[in-house]
Amino acid sequence: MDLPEDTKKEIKLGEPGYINKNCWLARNLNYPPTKHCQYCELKFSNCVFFWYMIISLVLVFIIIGFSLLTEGVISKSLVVAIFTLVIVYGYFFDKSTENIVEANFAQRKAKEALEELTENLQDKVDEQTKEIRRAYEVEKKAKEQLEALSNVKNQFLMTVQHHLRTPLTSMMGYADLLLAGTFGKMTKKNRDVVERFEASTLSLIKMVNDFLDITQFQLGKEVISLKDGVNLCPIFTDIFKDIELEAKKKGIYLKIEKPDGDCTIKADEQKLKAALMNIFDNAVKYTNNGGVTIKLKVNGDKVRAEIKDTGMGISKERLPKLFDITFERTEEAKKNFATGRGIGLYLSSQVIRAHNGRIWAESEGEGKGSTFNIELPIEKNLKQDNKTCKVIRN
Amino acid sequence: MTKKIEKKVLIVEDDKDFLSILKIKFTTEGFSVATAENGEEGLAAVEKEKPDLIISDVLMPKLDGIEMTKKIKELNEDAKIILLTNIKDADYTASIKKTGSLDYLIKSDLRINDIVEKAKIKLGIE
Repeated sequence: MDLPEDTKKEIKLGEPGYINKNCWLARNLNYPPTKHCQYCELKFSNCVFFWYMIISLVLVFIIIGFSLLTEGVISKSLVVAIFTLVIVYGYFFDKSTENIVEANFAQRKAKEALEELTENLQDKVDEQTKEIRRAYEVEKKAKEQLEALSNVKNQFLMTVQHHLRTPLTSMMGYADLLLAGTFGKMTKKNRDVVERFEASTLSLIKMVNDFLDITQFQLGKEVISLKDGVNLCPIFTDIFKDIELEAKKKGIYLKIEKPDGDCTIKADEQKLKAALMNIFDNAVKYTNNGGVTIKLKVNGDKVRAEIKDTGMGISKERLPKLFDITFERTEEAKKNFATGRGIGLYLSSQVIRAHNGRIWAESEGEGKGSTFNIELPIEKNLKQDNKTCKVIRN
Repeated sequence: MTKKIEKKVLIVEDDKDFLSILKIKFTTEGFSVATAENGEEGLAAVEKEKPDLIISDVLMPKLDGIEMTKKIKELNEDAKIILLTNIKDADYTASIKKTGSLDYLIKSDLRINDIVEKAKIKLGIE
């Protein structure tokens, strides 16, 4: 704590009544007078003298009283001695009082300064409290507005889900009934048409689901519902069956290396399967020459899939943006390869990350193929259970 | 000719197309089928038809599937109910689960056959 500014200005060093920092402190902490003398630069002897004087005067009166009681009169020499003592004491008493008055004056000044400071401080505290309260109100209002906005978004999202999916579900339902022969036997041509209709509807449902999932991820909502004990083996088997067919159609090779046994994982089976399928399917989709090599490895508490293709590759500039929502397929990819919406990698990466997994890609550049790596934490390796997962191998 | 199943299913669905699809499918599978187009009608049909299984949509006018389920469960705790919805939202599905131990299915993730299979499992039909 510093000495108030105006006190320093009015009473300067060496002037009567000057008080230093210690003095200011001594007064405000109500130190006893001897300490005041010490801290306020009064001569200590003055202070001590003040007390001596009082004690001496008391002693003089005691002596006079004693003299009157024993001898009945006051002796002449005693009167002279007392008179001399009173003059000497009077001088020092005056000095001491002067110093004390000066000190009191300084003390009063310091006290006033302190009161003013306290008042200013209180004003400042009040002002700042008001400002904090104002900021809090603004923040509260903004939060309420955000919450309201978020509710509107959620409501909109739910409405969209309901209104987009409802007719699609009915379309699929009618197709199912037709194909099941509920309305009578169909000609082969009619069946072909209904199957195409069904495939298109399924594709549309997938697209709607993907877009809704992206919106949910963007809103930071929980999209994944993890369940314990999901076996990875049948997931991979189904995926490999599908991509093997595709690879055969394209005339490219597909090599799969997989250890025996299988393992369980905490997963949202449907979502994880779709995410993995997208990555494996891309490798086949973007490879026209050569083929795809898939290596599955169980390493400690992780399962790792390495998907290496000899396809179109990815340029170094595009590689870091591969899993971003803003990623767009190159013109060459759009021209030469099957249709895609360019959101599959973003969605797959979000799903894999939501499973506490990792996904990353490597490529030497365009036309030089690429390698995608997926790592997922596993719950239990069932290798010892002697469950063998049948995998198609080329 | 499909073998008749001695079980009655009440289908509560406001979308007329999907209601018709489910009615045709369950009838073809040999079930006895009753229908209602909203929660209020569904509640009345439960009293009247005494179904073995209730398959209901969630978002419906007048009384939604969640409220209807709560009311049915108050009357009969053992009532078998499968809720069908098209909304895949974590908060939303959590609110469905809170209505009691029941199944809910996302319509667009399933084929009609899957719904029939689920119903058979729920009713203990092989």
